[in-house]
Amino acid sequence: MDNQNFHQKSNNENSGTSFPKAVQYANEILEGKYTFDSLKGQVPDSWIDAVQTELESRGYLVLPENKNLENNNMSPEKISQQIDQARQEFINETDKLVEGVGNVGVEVSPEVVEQVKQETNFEQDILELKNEVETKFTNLEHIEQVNDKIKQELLSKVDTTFTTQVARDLQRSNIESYTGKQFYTLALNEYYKYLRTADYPRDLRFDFDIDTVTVEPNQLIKRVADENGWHYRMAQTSTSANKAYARISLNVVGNKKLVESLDKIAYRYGIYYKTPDHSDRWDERTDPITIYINNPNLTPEFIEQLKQEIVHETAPYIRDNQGFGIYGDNIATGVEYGPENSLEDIQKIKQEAKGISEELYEAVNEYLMKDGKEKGSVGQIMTVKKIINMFLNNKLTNSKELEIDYPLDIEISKKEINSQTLEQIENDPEFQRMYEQMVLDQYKKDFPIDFESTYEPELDEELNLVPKNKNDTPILASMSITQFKNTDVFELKQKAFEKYILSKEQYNLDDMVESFNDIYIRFSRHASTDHDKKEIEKMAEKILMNDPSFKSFYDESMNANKGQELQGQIDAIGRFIDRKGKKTLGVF
Amino acid sequence: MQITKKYMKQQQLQQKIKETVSVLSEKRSAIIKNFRKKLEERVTSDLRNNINNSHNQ
Repeated sequence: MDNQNFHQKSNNENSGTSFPKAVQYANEILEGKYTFDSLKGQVPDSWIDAVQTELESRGYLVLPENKNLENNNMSPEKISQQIDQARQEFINETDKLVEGVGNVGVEVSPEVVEQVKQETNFEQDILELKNEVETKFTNLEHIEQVNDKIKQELLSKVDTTFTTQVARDLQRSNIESYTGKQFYTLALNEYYKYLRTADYPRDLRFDFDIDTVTVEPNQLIKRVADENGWHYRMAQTSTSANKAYARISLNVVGNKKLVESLDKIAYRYGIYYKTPDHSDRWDERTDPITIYINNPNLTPEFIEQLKQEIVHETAPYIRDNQGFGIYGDNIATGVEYGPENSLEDIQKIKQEAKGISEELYEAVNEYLMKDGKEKGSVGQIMTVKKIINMFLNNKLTNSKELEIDYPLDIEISKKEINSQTLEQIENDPEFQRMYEQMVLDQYKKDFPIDFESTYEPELDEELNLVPKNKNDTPILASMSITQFKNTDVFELKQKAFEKYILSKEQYNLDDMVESFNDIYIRFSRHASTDHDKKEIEKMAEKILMNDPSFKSFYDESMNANKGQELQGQIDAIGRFIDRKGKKTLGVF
Repeated sequence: MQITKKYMKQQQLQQKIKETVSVLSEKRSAIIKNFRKKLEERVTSDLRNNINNSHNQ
């Protein structure tokens, strides 16, 4: 059997044709007596079609053979080698040109050449050019990696969803057995997360290396304390001897210009502020910046002026008002002003907790304690207050009446899941049903179409999208190139994939990935002329750019490479469609 | 799972290399042209000064 020509999809034994000769040829091809292509010219074309139908009905893919294409394929090592060679040639050529650059037909003294070099910034320009050579050629090599990355994106997405779901279930069952104090601790942590944590997407205002700036002192900032995940930026004019009595929280994007502005403000008002110590953490909190007002000499008028200045200076960097509007004074979207808490506040809230129950008091006591000292942030105190209010306002009597209605996101290691329950859960029919639903939901989310209203049985019939039996993947092979061109390919792909998902009794990622490839291969089989191939390439690009998971990856790459030429990459990916056999399976 | 790594075709790669080299060569040429222009101007003006100086003497 020629493995390059055939790829078994299932063990379905149903015959796809009533043509006995075709059945015989198909059997002999599968036995390896000869290849599909060797039939060509030996038997009538209609027989070949019948053999192909027969093979496909048994779940094999018949793919066009093209020796030329095979020879043109290059291994990743060979690609690197060629790129390296071209890079080296360019560099050598440049070095030679630089060496002879002073030669203008008359004798010129080396001093004059040197002077003109300095005037024209020659050396620097050549150095920059060489750097660009490195970047550009490295990008060429990157084309290959793009493929793998897309595959990983899809795999990790499903894997993450799966693991999270298992973790949540496990956590839910654990919580059933919690004591009152344990449950209060859980509620405190969860409510705090709900209040403070976020998962903002990055936009163009975000500086990826913001943490390299926030960690550095400068002429306005005398020192930066790197503590507990924060960079505390103390202005030259401020002193830590003064305790903060008020604070301003900001829901902003990480931007170097913003830090510059805040440095100036901190310097002018003799105060300090904190930022996350790591770029990633800017996205993970609703209040990445807190400005501490600790200068005892600031009059109420000055503080008012400071508030206005901060609202004005931070406006271009504000994200939204999430997490705000509960404490203090929400002076503008994403800006909140309020008093800093004191030891008295902590002690007072603990007593309030004691009034509710001894268990809540114990939980709060531990919660507002650090290194054996009573300590708590404004956010923590707000969290305790929220629980107390829930008891008072809703007349709750028991810790478990507290609502935790947002996703529980408690760390459970994969190891724990594996050793205890994973196998058990996986074998549970209820879990399998849930997992299938989850995969389907994820698919619907990624490929949003109105499943009900776009269902047209006649169209499916016409396009041969309906699987012949339950185990088959959808077959698009009967579609002519004209039909193909006149159809919205992306919609077709969605329909085909939807059909596939719905036709399966069990879903797994491998099948999903194969099904994507399967559909693409079947499309590509219609490309018999160069013109058709080009048409399909265009459509492939359209499919990819309409595909949200690819699109987001593409956009991310564009951002990460700061506008460098990535079109070549997408071109290359688009061309997967005319690959032969399994090599077509490049994109997912 | 059967996913075979996608390979790049020879002519595609060569086309890409050609495009890259062409863009870079243009930049290189501009840098060198600029330098030579300035150098030629300098040489010409030095020559002119020398001639003027010798006339004056």
